[in-house]
Amino acid sequence: MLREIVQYAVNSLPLGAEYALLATGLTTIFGILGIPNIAHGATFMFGGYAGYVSVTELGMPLWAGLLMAAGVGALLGELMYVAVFDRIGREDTLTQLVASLALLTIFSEVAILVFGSEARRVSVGGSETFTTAGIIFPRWVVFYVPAAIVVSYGTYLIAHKTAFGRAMRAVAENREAAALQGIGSKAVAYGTFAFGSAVGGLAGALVGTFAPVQPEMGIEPILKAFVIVIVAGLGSILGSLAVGFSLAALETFATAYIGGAYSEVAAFLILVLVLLVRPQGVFPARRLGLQRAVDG
Amino acid sequence: MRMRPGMKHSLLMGLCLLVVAGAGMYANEYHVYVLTLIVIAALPAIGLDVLMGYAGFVSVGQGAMAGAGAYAMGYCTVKFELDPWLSLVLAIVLTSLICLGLGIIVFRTSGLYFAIVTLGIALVFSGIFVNWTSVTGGGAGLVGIPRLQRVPFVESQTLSDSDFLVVSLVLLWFVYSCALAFVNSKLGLRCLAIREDPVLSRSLGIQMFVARLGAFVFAGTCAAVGGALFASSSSFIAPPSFSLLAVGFQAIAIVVVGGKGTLWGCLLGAVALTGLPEILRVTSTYSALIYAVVLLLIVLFLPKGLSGVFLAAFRRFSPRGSARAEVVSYE
Repeated sequence: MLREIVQYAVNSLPLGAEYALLATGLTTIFGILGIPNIAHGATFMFGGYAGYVSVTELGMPLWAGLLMAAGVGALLGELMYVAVFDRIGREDTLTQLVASLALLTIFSEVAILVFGSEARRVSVGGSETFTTAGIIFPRWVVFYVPAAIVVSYGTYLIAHKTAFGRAMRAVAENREAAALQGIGSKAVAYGTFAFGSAVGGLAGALVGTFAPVQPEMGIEPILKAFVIVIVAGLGSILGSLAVGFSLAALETFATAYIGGAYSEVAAFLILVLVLLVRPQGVFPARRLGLQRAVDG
Repeated sequence: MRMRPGMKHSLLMGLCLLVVAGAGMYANEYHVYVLTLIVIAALPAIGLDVLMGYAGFVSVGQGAMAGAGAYAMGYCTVKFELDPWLSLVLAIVLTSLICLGLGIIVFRTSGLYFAIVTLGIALVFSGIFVNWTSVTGGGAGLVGIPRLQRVPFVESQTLSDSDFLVVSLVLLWFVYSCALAFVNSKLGLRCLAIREDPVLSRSLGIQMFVARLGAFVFAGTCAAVGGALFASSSSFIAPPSFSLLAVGFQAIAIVVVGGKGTLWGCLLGAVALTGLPEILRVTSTYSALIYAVVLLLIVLFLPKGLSGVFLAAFRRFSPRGSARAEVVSYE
């Protein structure tokens, strides 16, 4: 019984790492910058393809593939920001939402035209699983769970302990006041968007090691990531990590004990209930003055 | 006689829709089909415009409510073999009740949190549509939903395509007039006051909850009318028709493209976003790509939407029009 529960918990880890990484990138863009960028799912998808091309096609080592994916993610994010989001009023969340939807469709269609719609893999070799103490571990679990934690904690450190992070949060809190302190809000916004997108690209390549890379791979996870980011509390990076792993565990346990059909329904029902009990999220970020955005 | 506010607007819209109905009589089968699709897409958007444009709450859950309306319509007609018109009424009542129940709990949150709660609700509903096989037919969907018949509540001949369009237009006009009445009612004005300044409205003793709940239920009910009409017109429904992308986000896109908070902008948005894919159907490989690029260009370069373009043109060419143009958008 206990072993079974541990086994399910272990099984949920790769999915948890996926959710956590996707939510970490989205938190910086949505939670801190305040842009509801659904096209983050496209950044994630192109990260997956960058990993596929560099590792599977060109035979580069995995770390190089991940680096490539982060670079592609950052470039793509910057392209989106410069071409689209920078032109839309900062308060105009709705227009940003519709524009990002259009971007998501555009990038998915481009991916279909360039790579076709069949599933690809970031092939890393080695055996599928290994067994320790009677628990079957998925391949690479020792790699991507720490990777998710490191990336998320690194993002947290950058956002909270560096001058750039302070500038980022200052701009999020009050653009005018930040400008009066000599913080160039434009440069900070560019940097934040690129940074969040780099994390998104990296997430795509990591996920490509255990799940198929295909044009629509980002659409469903990004919707879940939005729920994760909000349930965690807007702007809470470590909260997203915790809620990401929790959602994956919830889904896995629900699949095991009430059957696959309703597992997602149950998981989302729990998240929505959590949000209704704690309307500001589980780990509300301390004074991340997004009140204006929150009040709509 | 002094007309109630919004009456003139409603009559004007009725006239426009009458012209469309007249044109529908002479249009070919395909054009009638596209026009019906436009009406069905406009309905959830009108409800959303009231909730979003007037009450200031963004919901991505219109697909869930359209789906609830459609499945209720389908289940009543197929499994209970009820009269289609009766089923339509039941579907609308049922969905309003669902919205009422949801509305009581969702307004614990506001702003982005509210939008995400509706996202969660939409995902839960799509899960239910796919998995509650005994009622929804699961992925295979519900088949054989009858058309509305000529004489409501009486056994009679089913409507032809162009007659169905006329019935849809009448329903659209009815919903549109209800939206106008709501916006001009005390409840609607309270919504507007709350959106503009929540603290001040509260200090004036305006009950936020009832006004918001009213807008939420109205939005869901509009979506249900659209869903039920869709079920009746296509005779077959399946979960993908009510997904987030197909209805939830589509309704937001229609409102934004048309121009938020104008109501009649929704109709322009629905014409643009439903008509465009039909025109693009000639180049199937690139149709989704071109559609998305056009959508992006519209939101980037027409920040006030298509209705904003019309209003600007109106102001430009009629020297006296500027003051009246302002009134048109709210009255």
